[in-house]
Amino acid sequence: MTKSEFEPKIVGFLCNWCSYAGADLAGVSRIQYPPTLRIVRVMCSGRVDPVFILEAFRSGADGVLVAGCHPGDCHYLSGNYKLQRRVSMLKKVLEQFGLEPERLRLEWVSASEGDRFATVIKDMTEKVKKLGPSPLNNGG
Amino acid sequence: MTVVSSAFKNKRRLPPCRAACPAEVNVQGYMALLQQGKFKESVELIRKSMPFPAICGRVCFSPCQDACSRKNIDQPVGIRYLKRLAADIEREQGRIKPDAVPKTHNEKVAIIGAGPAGLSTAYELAKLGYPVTVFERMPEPGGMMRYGIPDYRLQKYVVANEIAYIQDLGVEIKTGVEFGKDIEIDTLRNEGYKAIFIANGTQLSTKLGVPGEDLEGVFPAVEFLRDVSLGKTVDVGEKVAVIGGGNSAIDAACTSLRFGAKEVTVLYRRSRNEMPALPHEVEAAEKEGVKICFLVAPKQIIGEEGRVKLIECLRMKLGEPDASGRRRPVPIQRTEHTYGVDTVIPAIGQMPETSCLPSILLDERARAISVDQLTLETKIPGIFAGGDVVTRPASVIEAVGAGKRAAVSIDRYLNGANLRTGREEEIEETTWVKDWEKITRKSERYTAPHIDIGRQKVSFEKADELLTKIKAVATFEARRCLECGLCTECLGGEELCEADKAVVDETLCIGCNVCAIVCPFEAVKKNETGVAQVNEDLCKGCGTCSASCPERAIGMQRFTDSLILTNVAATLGEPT
Ligand SMILES: Cc1cc2nc3c(=O)[nH]c(=O)nc-3n(C[C@H](O)[C@H](O)[C@H](O)COP(=O)(O)OP(=O)(O)OC[C@H]3O[C@@H](n4cnc5c(N)ncnc54)[C@H](O)[C@@H]3O)c2cc1C
Ligand code: SF4
Ligand code: FES
Repeated sequence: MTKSEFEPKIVGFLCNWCSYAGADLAGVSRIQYPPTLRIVRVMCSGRVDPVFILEAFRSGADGVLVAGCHPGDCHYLSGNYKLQRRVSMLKKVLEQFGLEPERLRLEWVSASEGDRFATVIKDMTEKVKKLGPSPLNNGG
Repeated sequence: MTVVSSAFKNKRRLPPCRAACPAEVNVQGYMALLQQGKFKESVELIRKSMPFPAICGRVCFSPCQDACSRKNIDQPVGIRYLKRLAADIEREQGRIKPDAVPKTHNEKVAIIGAGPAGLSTAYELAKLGYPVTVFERMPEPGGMMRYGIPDYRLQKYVVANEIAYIQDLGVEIKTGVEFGKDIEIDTLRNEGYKAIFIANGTQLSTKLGVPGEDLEGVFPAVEFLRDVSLGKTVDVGEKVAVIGGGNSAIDAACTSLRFGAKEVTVLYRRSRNEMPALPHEVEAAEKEGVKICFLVAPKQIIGEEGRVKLIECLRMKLGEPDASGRRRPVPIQRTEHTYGVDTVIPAIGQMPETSCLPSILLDERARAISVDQLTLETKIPGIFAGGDVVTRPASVIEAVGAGKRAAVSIDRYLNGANLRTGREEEIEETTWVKDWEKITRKSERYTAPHIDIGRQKVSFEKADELLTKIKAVATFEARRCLECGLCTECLGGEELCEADKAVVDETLCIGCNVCAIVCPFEAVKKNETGVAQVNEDLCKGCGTCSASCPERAIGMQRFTDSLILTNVAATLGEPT
């Protein structure tokens, strides 16, 4: 597989209340974004266990996006803050596995930000494309 | 109320919207469904609490919306509009036709009056399997919803459609039957009716009590609106004065404009703040050209050859608060002034017709039926009453609330159960937000784009596109709901929403207390033995505890770890 035709696989853990709805809106409003995203819905970004993220990489993801409500907007008050701490910790862990920390991304996307959702996916797809396929994938 | 009974008050915690609704409509629940674009389901959820979603979506004074917590951040959720939209979509796409409920009881119930109170009682009792007959003297059922509120606010077909749902359930409505003339309490009993609910409303206009009231050209509002609803043509001339400040005054004023009046003035004896009419209706009336004069009251109506010619008024000022808590208007002496008018429409209130009722049912002043406030039972066992005839003119939703309470009482009465046990409740409003300042993101209310397609024909594609847009906007508006109530509030066992619940595996828990620290709702506590316990009422199912538990001792009921991991694997397995 050459780099130019490489289409990354990105697993997106989306909060039910905001980003999942934002993705929906992007769809309804027919906003174009690359078909790289594989959506997994969770009730709150705070639900995203480090194990889920590691498992996603192990199963062949080239990137993982976790998207939740904007700070102060979490349905459960602080789920997104808790996630933020977990993600910074995980980035260090990823480095030890030989994965670029940029492959894991945290974003705040509200239910009304369909366009922003699309922009995030486009941007992340670009960046992961540049990084190339996940080293775990190649080795596997 | 005895000391003993109040000690057993049921305590319930409800979100502010539901707590404020006399019919306890599960607002949070249908917001949750609308968020998922489930329009029909949300209408069916409303119908669990009351049969008039489209009617209330139009004319309810929406105490739910006034109570909505979101007002502490920006604006309340547009609940009434969403209710109307959902109900209209459901109707236009083909109303759900419920099957008739099998009659599992033999005891027949008679209901007098097919207004919202009577119809709601019939609706609830039919759902319980009772044979119910509603007797109504007008040609069509609906009460003031049909013969009071004008068509431009509440279309007749909307009323008919919601009543048809009640009839589908098996309720029999007999129109053109007058209580006190065609039927009596005794005749009903002889025909085998075991319980009677009287909901004849307030059909008489209160007299102004000023000279000249009997002149030609004086139309009391209720009669005027009823004639209009019956399709009669009413000549109001060019200049109309409406006396009063309630919904019927505003409705009569706007209706006069539609009948060709050039100048319509509403005379109200207090100030704008005290007006009982719905503020947005008043605003709309003023936009249409209705003039409102505050702090004036009529002194006499002056005629010429038996017809109204002038109305003489006095200016008023506000004095001490009266029994209703509103400041009492007091006339200012020597401020008489006159207006030239063709028609005077008194709309200062309504009274029940008491002549058809046994006097034992009435209160001391014989102005309303007196009932036990909790059970709505009258002084005659087996006879209940509710709605405007008890409360004096109120609102549709209050009449519905009364109808529901009466249905509970009637069911108990027919089963020989105590009418009061467990019904005294203390309702506490809940919301999970502890600090409003913390919520910094504001969101303006989403309103449907104003689509003016006039009478032009639209293609199916265009119509479909518009509907998709309107639905999307409604979905966003519903997402502004903060979901104040407990997680289970929105489902009430509907299994429609996807709420999650945390469950602790006690054999794995090591009592580290991480869950208790991370839970935003203080829903997890350690018990005496050091094992984490989840309080089901407080848990809102975010899963933060589960994600933080180092021993993986907390799992979620719906979005289990294995489900999420399977989803991860599944999405990665898909061919690109
Ligand atoms: C002009 C106007 C505008 C209003 N606007 C609003 C509004 O915007 N929002 C709102 O919430 N509320 C509004 N209301 C109030 C609301 O309509 C009433 O509070 C509500 O309808 C009361 O319900 P009810 O069932 O007690 O009585 P009603 O609706 O009055 O029904 C009583 C029924 O009993 C029948 N009946 C009476 N006597 C007999 C008899 N002897 N035999 C057989 N049948 C009989 C009547 O014909 C009628 O159908 C308005 C009322 C009026 C008059
Ligand atoms: S799921 Fe959320 S709300 Fe429920 S106990 Fe766990 S942390 Fe608390
Ligand atoms: S509810 Fe969206 S991140 Fe918590």
